[in-house]
This record gives sequence, structure tokens and C-alpha cells, in this order.
Amino acid sequence: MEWIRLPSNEKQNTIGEFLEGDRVSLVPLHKEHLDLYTKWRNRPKVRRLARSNLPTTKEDLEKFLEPKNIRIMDNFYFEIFHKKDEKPIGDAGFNKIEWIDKRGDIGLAIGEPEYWRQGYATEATELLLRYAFNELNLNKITATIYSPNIGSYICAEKVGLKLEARLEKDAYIEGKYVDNLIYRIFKDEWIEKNKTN
Amino acid sequence: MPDKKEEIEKEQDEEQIYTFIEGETIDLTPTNSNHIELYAKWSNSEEIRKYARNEMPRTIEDIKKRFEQRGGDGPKEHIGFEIWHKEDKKLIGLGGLNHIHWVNGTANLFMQIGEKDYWSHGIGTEAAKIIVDYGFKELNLHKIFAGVLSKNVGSWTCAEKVGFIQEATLKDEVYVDGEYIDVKKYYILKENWLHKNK
Repeated sequence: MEWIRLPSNEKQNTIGEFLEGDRVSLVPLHKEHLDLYTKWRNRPKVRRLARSNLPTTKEDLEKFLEPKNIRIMDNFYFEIFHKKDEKPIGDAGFNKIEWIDKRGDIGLAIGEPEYWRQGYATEATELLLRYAFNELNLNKITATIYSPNIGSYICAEKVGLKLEARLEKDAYIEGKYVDNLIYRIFKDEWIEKNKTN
Repeated sequence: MPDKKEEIEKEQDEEQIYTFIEGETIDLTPTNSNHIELYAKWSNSEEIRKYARNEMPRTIEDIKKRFEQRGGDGPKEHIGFEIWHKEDKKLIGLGGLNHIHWVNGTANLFMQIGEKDYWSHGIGTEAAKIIVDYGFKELNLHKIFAGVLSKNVGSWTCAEKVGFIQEATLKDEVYVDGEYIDVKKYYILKENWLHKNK
């Protein structure tokens, strides 16, 4: 495993890759990057479709990084780390895993808009799905996407998620009610898709 | 209309039992911090603790702390129940699943009938069946295992009655009463259980 140590805090990844992809890796969150996470969460362009309607303080996010002594968690996120540029560009993870139902709801945001529309979210989602099915033994992954968030559902469809339900006028975004799309993929669908590829 | 004061006294007299799973002769209820003293008594009793491998003395505070720690964050890795005798309305033991690993879908079955008068009445078997059924049908587990001391004939007869299959013998695994003895490792898979109880 390659260990990356760089002078700037923003570029540091001292823990190493947890899930390595071609261009991005998923790595554990870094406490030193709390300012960056807070920036992403409040950034108008980023938070718009992620429905971060309320301001997020650094303290709000600190609780995610409190040391935990739990063997199996049900809510956790990774940093999306750009390998070539050696910097974190977003976060991805599980909003909630229901271990009895073997179902997980995933979330993802590319916090740096200059990295949008280059397939990074797709790559990160693929890493997350491989992890969810091959390592965590989950059976179903869902993603909740609001209808104006075209980029997200193009990404979801690319990695094999299918529209399972449409909750009509379910969220209020920028002055109007929009639909909430529930996408899903089952383990066997994912195995089938990755066989043919 | 009954006297309010009388009513309150009656309530305090009769302890509230929160049945979680109803069996034939027993009910399973959540553990209850009011019963810590009884748990401590069982934990320290020589006869009871011998096969349960409680080698150390436990104070009431030790037991209390153990229960408090289990209420942490994250998915539960320990699910314990009290075993109540229905007809006698008496708390007679503890049982449940621990070492739950949610990724592997595995858990260990544990059981302790603390009241000796209730041994050899098939109560352990009934409780084990209820807990195994709960593990597979409600918790969606894949495999439940149990370790039984080879000398503890009652326990492994009970495990086999429930449908557990022996998968290994751990040689000289524990030291009890001045000698090393074997531990029999048992398992049952969800498919075994569902097939058996079709």
C-alpha cells in the first residue's frame, strides 16, 4: 500500500487507501479535513441538490469524527481522494445500514465543482457497491435522488441502479416541490452486471 | 371505583413483565436493571458458574457496568433476555445471542438457567428454540453457534435436541475443577432451521 504524506493539510492522506479505484480511492475521514468538509457542506453549488438547507457548523460535523469503539457501524462515510492530484474532492458513504434487512442507503457528494462531470462520482459509487456487496454482505443498496439532480441519476443508472419508486412532490427545492427518486440495486443484479462487463 | 392509593400499592407489588416472545412454559422478556442482584447471585453461584466459565467474583457494580456498556452506539452485538417461568411467574434465567457479527450474519447462543429447581425440565431446550427462531426469522442471521463443555451433558443434549450440529471439538480448551476438558462446538444454519421447522 502506498502512503501519501504531503505538506499541506488539505492534501494529506496518512491513513492509506481503504478502497482503491483507478482515479479515486475511498479513504477514512480525516479530522484535519474538517474545515474542508464544512466548506463542502455549506457551499451553495454543492449543497443545492444535496438538500443541505440549514447551515452546518464545524461542530455539527465533529460528531461524525468522534472516536468510536464499535466493531460494526451503521452510518459512516469515506473521503473521495483524487489519486493523481493527491487531494480529497468529496465524500461518499452509508447514511444508514439496516443490518437485519441487509440494506444500505448510500450518499455521495463531489465537493469540488471543478471535478464535476468527469465520472468521479461513478467511480466512487462503483467502489462503494463492490464494498457493500463483496465485503459487507448487503443485499440491496438504495440511493435517494431529487429529480432536479440529473447528474446523480445519470451516475446511478450508469452503475446499474434502477428507478424503483418516485415519491411525488416530496421535497421543496428552490421554491418548488420536486419528486424524490428512489434508486436501487440488488446484489444479484450487481453480480450479473459485473459478469458481463 | 377502586381507591387510587390501593391501586398504586398494587402496581408496586406486582412487577410489570414486558413479554417480548411468548413460549409454552416460558416467556422471554428484556433484561431489567431491577434484577441485577439476582443476575449477580447466579453469576457467583459455584454450581451455576462452573460450566458458564465465570471464574471471577462479580460485584453488583461489575454486573451493572456490564449492562450499561451494552447500551452503546451502533448495531447491538449482544441481545439478552430474561427467561420467565409462566405458570410460576418466576424469573429463572438468562439467555440470548452475543458476539453478533452483522456482516457474517453469525452469533453465539448463550443460556443460563440460574434457578436449579428448573433444570432438566426441558426449559433450556424451549428457550434455545425460541432464541434460534428469533435469530433466523427476525434478525436474518445466517449461522448460530454454541460452545458446550463436554462434561456439561445437559447442555449438549439440549443443543442436539434443538437441531445443532457438532462441527468441532476443541481439545483441552478449558480448565474446570482441576482438569482440562474439551469444548464441543455446535452450529446451525438458517437453512437447517427452516428445513427442520417446515
